[in-house]
Amino acid sequence: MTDFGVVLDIDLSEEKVKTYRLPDDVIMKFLGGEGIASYIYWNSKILCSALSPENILIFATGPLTGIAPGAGRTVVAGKSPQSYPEAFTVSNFGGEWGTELRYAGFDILILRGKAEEPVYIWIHDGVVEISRAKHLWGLGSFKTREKLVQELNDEEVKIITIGPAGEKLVRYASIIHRSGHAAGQGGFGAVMGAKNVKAIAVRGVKRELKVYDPQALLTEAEKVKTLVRHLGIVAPSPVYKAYEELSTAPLTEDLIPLVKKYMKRNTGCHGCPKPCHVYIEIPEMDVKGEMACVQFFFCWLQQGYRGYADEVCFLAKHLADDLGLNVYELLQLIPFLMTLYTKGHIPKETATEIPFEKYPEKEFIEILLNKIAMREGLGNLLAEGTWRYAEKLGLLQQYLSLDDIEETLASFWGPVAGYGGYGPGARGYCNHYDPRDYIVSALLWATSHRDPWSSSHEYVAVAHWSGLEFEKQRKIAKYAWGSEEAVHPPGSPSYNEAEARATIVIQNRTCVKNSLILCDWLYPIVISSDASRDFIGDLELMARITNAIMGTKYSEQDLLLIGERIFNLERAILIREGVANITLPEHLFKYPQRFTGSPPLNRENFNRLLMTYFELRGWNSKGIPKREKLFQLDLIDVVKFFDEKEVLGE
Amino acid sequence: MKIIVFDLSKCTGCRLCEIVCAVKHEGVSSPLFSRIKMLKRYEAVFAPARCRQCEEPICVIACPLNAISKDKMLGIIKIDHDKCRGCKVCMELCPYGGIYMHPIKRKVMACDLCDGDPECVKVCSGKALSYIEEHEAIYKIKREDIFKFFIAK
Repeated sequence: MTDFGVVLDIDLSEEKVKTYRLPDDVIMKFLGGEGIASYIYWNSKILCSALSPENILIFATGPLTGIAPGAGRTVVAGKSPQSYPEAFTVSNFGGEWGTELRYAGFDILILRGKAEEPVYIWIHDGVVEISRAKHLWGLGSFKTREKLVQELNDEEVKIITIGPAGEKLVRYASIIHRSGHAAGQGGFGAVMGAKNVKAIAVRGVKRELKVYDPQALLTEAEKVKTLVRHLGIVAPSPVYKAYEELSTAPLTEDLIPLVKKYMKRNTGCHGCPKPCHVYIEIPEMDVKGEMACVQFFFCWLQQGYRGYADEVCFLAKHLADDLGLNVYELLQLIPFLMTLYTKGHIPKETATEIPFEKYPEKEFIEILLNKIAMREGLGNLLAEGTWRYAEKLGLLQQYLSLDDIEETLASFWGPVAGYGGYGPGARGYCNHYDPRDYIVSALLWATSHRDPWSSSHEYVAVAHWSGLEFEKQRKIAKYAWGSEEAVHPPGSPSYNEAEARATIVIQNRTCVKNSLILCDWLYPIVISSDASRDFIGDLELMARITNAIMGTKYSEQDLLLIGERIFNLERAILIREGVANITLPEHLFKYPQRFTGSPPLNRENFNRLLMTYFELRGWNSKGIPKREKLFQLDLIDVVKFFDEKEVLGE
Repeated sequence: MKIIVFDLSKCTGCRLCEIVCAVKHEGVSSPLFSRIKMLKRYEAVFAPARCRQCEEPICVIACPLNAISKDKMLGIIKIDHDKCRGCKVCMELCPYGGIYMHPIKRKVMACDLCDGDPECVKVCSGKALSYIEEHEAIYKIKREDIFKFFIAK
């Protein structure tokens, strides 16, 4: 049996520290990570605003963290200040912090209340210290880390910290670990800031993490290594070359020479067989650090605007991380801001604060990011996030429907964003992987509590990134989601049941993955690069690794049931918080996708598909889980709550 | 004779080697039980501390109880736990940080090359660790470095 489940519960207001172990049956029901975080959040009955001291901030590792290959991530959860409106959100970050927390004796960390003055938390081999952090307050995240390493006199200490943005309660402030790992989406950096916690440093070696069947684990670990060599990305894929040459996450070919010039090595999370970060060093700019995926946001903006990217894109990432800003939000905010500027929506007296005419040069991004993080002038409004800023200007509806601003907005985007889509998604989170290209994407966006694709890449890995021919994709769809019909060529959805079923499987599997926790980019192994096995991956592998470590006897189906339980609990949380509406932004029904040419969604068909999805989920026509479903999933507390509040009606 | 060769340029610092070493030998994931330890200076520089299986091992010479010996076939440094009394003199003298205390047995431990089939090498996906014939190291692992060194930019 697993030794997972030790909670470190810190009340910052009272400076009280508790530790306890979650009961085994809770672990079996919710595993860890996202599942346990939802369970804790549900039981905490959070009704306050995100930045009030009553909100809780949960850091949860999973039973596989620090043991399985590709299990280096940590989930962060709580009420999110970035979500529109504020609601429960889950974020996560990679690196080594979670593993170190487990080695130090704890699996889950809960922060409650608010410290009287700025503090940092120092956890080392079972000992917890809360120390004053006045000398760190105001510093960038990199400087903070450097100082803490000196102060604690240990180079191996693992630190998460917030930058000035978190201190100033910027709604999309991130929590930064190492030099390029961040819990960005959700804005939990601001929650940490609101609790007056500047950093959490961890060092641990003493705890042994149990492995039920070591030999089986080693066998699976070797298998993972061969299966994920190229993550199932084959030659025609637009990112194949980046994998082949740099071994890094999605990077278009034209960026390869620029990255190569400054790249020192590949880096990644603890225990990762396929690290996705590049370590960049540009001494002239005083920029160094790890970089991957959306951290290349400024390259994309530069490419879109003027056709090529330069070194400033590295600086933009460096600044965002140092100040502690979520780059996803910047990817949404900057084009919107430029649109407003060109349309004359920004009042003259504030327009001079930021050198708009210098877009996309160094001066522009430096001043913009600093103003936002410090909440100075216009930056104070921008710090509220794109949707709230648009609302303040009375432009939110226009922004969501993209009436009037469509053309200008689009002209600031490049080809990558073209695949990814532009503008808003669900609840204010920046969109990528456009719903008009893939209908599964539309369902995911409509029904998830945050942007779905940072946590459920399995569909786009096949349909978008793999580079496989459509016929081969259909075979994989049959294997992974039960029907060949679950995939369609971009832009031509059939709005059929298979697509709804695929969405459900993907959501359930994602919940499992984020609860164990396994890396989203590696797992589930839906595809492989192995032509001899028809590029089909190995979905049972997740269950086999879990069993080898936890001593359980789960099949893939058993795990999916746990995933379904977690997903329904999260749905119940959103219902309790009153943000259960299931919608998509208007522009998706109005305009074709500018770059891929995919037609707008058909509203009637989409609504019908949504009803099919509800039925398959065992939800009523309002998207509320029915009593039978909740009993089946053993979510009795939710039934009680629904009864009390008469949520289900009749 | 085969040796483990480390190539810093390929290492990503993921420490999977550390995990599987402890899992293989002790059935747990724990840096304390691992016979290879990855030291880090931020994300920029990594250095694995491990037993180098020296030809004239100072630990063998220094051990007053003759508990350490060098295996002739595979070149493994072997520690006889019946003889070791945990005096740690080998630990102190080893210049490579390759010998550690076993936290439970209270005897010293070091890399045993998994008796000729090292697990760390098997899982290292970046091929930063390889287990190859010693004469091949120069041709296979160090090849690019040497070219880089001699052919001016």
